[in-house]
Amino acid sequence: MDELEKELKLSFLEESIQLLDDTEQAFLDLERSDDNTSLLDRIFRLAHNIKGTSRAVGFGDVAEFTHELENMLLMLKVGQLTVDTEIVTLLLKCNDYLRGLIEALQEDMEATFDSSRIIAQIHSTVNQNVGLAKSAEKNEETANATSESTTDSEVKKVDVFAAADPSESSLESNLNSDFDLGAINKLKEFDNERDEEAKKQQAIAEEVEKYTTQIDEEDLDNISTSGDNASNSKVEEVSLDHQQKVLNQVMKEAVQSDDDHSHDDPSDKSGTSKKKQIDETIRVKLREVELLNNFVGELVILQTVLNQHKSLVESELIQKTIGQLDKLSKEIQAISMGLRMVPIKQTFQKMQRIVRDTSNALGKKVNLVINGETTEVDKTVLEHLGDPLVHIIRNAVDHGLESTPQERVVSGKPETGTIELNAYHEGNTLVIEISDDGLGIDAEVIKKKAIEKGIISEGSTLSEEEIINLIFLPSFSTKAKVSEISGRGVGMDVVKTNIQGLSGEVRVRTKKGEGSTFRVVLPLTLAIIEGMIVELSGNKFVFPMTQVQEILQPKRESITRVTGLGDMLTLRGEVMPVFKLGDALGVEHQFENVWEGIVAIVRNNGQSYAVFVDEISRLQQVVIKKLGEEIKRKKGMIDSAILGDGLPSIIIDLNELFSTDLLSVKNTQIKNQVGAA
Amino acid sequence: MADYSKVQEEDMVNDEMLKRYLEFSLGEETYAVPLLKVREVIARPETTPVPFTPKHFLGIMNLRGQVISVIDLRSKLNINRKKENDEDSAVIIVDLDPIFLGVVVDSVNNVLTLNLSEVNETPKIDSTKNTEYIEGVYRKDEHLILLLNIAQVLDIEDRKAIQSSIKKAA
Repeated sequence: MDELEKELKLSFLEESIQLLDDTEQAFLDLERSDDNTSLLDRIFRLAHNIKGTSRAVGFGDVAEFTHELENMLLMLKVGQLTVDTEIVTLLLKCNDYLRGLIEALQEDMEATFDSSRIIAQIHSTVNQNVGLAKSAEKNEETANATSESTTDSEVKKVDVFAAADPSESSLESNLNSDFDLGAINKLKEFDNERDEEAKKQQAIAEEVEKYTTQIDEEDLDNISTSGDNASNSKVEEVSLDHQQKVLNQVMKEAVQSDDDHSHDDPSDKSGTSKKKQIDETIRVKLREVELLNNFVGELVILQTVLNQHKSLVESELIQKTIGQLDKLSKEIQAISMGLRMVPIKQTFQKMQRIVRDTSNALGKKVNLVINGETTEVDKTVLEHLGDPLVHIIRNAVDHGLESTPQERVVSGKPETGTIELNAYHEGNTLVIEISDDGLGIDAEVIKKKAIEKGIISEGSTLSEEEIINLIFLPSFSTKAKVSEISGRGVGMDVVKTNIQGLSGEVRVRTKKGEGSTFRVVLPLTLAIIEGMIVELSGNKFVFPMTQVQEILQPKRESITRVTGLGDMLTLRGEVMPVFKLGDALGVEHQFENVWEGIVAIVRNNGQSYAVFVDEISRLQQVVIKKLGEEIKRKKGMIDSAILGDGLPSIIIDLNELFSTDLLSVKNTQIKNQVGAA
Repeated sequence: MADYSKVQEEDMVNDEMLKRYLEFSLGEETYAVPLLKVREVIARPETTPVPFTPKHFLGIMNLRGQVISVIDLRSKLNINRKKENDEDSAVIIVDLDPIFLGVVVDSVNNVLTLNLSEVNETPKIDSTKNTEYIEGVYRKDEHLILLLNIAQVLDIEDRKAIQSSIKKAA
């Protein structure tokens, strides 16, 4: 396989994955929307793209399967088949299968596949759903006539794609036996369209020089004629883009078949094809972006050093230059961080599939409403977000919503449950909310279960919020039966762990009978965090701001010393333990009494505590630097950051550092309560 | 003789009996580490102490944006400093794949090319110190150079965590 071919194949595979996401979404929309004509057009175009391109780059197995899929889609398009749940399930299955093929090919380009089983399934489903040959005989002549024109257009198309396939004729034979006149007329229309498309492509092929502008015109044409919404026109662009690629490939092949051995300047051609795409986007390796971000991170650190020592320089010019440099660095940082940002759309779309499959399996009716899918998030964060979201969504469908539609009707709700998925930015964080309009979480049930499982003791007086947050503990599942979907009791603690692994937070708000909302708050990026730099006898440490709720200097009277618990802080009626940072880190405190220093209030699992430090020097964005394993294994020391003075400082995970303290406080509290009772 | 033959074997593979070492001083003693493990030598940087680490663990430093742990070999090996001030002291950045480690020494002397056949096994007696990090002894003119296995200097737990690429010298 020469390099060019390999490159073409690779780019096909990458794009296919994208296309398959689009088709999956379209299949799901198919089930939800009433007007399917434009959708089916879109789906058909996507499938056609995959078929054409896969054949052109030499993935015969993929082309063969897509061809079958295309046949079925065609029948849907002409109204021979009607869209129902069964068909959509089959289409989704095909989509998954195709994805499997593509992924396998990404591993090994030489892989071959036997698709006969799934093809047989397509056939049997199609046959079941299509009434056996109706007026086929009567219309045979007309059908033949049409099939000729079809063949015509096929030939043209084959010309363009420069890859003839005898199996293409199976389409016609299907027509002869199964299709009625109306269908054939529709097909005719479609063929005309395809004719035009083929002609367009030929015209384009003839005038390669003017190619780009032509595409633009056609783009406009497509947009204006279709008069469809923006997303549709986007698909047009994509498909044209594809045609362009196929065309390039065809031209290359033509050149190569003219003279197989002399590689007639292929570099020049690939050069032009690349140039055309550069105008819109270029593909960059994630590794390179990461490298860039690393360097930019260093740049920003050095810039901070410069800024802090600017006044030492006498020259005004240099001071001014440092100021300008600072602006530039910030711009560069913003842009380079932006390179890692991708819209959350893809992940959200996957949720639609999850909701569909889960609700079908449980016999529930669910409508998923998605908002803010254009919200951007760091690629690494997004990658790790999928699993927890799936868990929460499944949970919402299974546990959140009422068991049966009837149960909903009885409680005065519409039969179809609604799950809402929202994403938006809030300051430097990404917020994702998953709400359902189901039963809500019953704190009493949770409490009973927790007591049963020995998680809390009988007499514990946890607040409602604390009780509800017990669902994030390992091995906690209230669903009586273990089901396929959820209820193994591994769900929510995995969610919590995953999200905490991303320096995020998850919380539940719930109202009995009205539903629950899971709120996931994540940092926009993992490379930079908002840090609070605290001092302890001259030592600097960084607290992640995501953990700190508020900072205050406590009044003397708000501190009470309790035997066995140490200092307790009363804040707006809430009593919480005060932990000394110095005790946890083995560093001396400058002040002995809590009210002389400053406390940071941290909230974890509904439990608040205050962390006592000497001083808070500043809040700033810090670039996260990995620590070696020799330090990382020390409790609470997760990462490091290089501060303005050029020295590294340890970033402290407060919840980890104080986990044992928290536990012992809780135990003491429980003991005290039991004692009092 | 187990140590010795192992060292020999390793280098036979390299088709060389000659191996280059970086020679440095700790107090009055002279040590050397394989040059291939040395990434660079820098002047002693400022370090940030890390809580709950042993005395010889000086803290973490910023090496052009990379955060690296720094240890003081003298205090680890219980060697008295050459002088009261550390002006002369340097830091050798050692590559312990997958981590880098900064090692504070009194001074870096020169690069030695050793013929491994002249390297002697570590004497079993003659020292109250733990000798497991001494790979061998080389006689240069009138004094001895101790060949050091840096990975062995770290704590056992550290080593476990780091998964040192350096083979344990039996």
